[in-house]
Amino acid sequence: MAKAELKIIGSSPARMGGVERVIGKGVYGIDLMLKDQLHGAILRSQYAHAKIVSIDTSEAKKIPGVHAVVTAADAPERALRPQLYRPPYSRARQSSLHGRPGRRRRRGIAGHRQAGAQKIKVVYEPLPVAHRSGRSDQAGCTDLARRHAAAENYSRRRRS
Amino acid sequence: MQQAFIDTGAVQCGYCTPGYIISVKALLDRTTKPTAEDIEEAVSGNICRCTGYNKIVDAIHLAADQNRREGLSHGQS
Repeated sequence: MAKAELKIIGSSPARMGGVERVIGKGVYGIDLMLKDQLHGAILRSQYAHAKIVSIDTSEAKKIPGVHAVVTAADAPERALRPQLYRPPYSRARQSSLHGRPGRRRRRGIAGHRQAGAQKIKVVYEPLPVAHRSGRSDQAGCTDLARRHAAAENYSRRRRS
Repeated sequence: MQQAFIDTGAVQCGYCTPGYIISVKALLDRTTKPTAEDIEEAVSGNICRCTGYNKIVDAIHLAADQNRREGLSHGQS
């Protein structure tokens, strides 16, 4: 093909969709509203590193409109994977990073879903926290350091 | 400022962009020539999972430069 026929290759096109994004008009999945759609909310750990002692979902399940409350117990075959790269539902017994999804629930009414998630009662046993990577072994977080290493090995295996 | 984000490639998925725009607007209202430390502090509450932040810092420097030039051309300091 003659060089003159290439209109895209070699050009430097302007960023498409940039204006919508910088003026806050971008449309994302969370903006979509369909008839009868279910809404989900995630209850996140309030600790950076903690053992989950117990989870009580009974109050949340009683709320009208709640269709399901999903925890690691619902997917035991996934819960033991290293979670740094592909978070499963929640670790069966530990949450290691602040903000990691702890559990998830669904409900029919969007505005009330977070309130419903707060009805899930979780008891935590806080553990030492590693504030920076590479220091986890110094902060009494040998368990965390070991799991970081395991996750890296896991990721390497997946790539190879 | 918003054009600076587009021109430097500081916008990828764009989910975080409006938050950055507001933070940077506040920064540039406070100071016309922000240092690297000023910028880091000003956007420390914003998280971007796409860009790696370098492009966003470039955009802020560019926006500040452009604002200063416009200010000069309008006789302001």
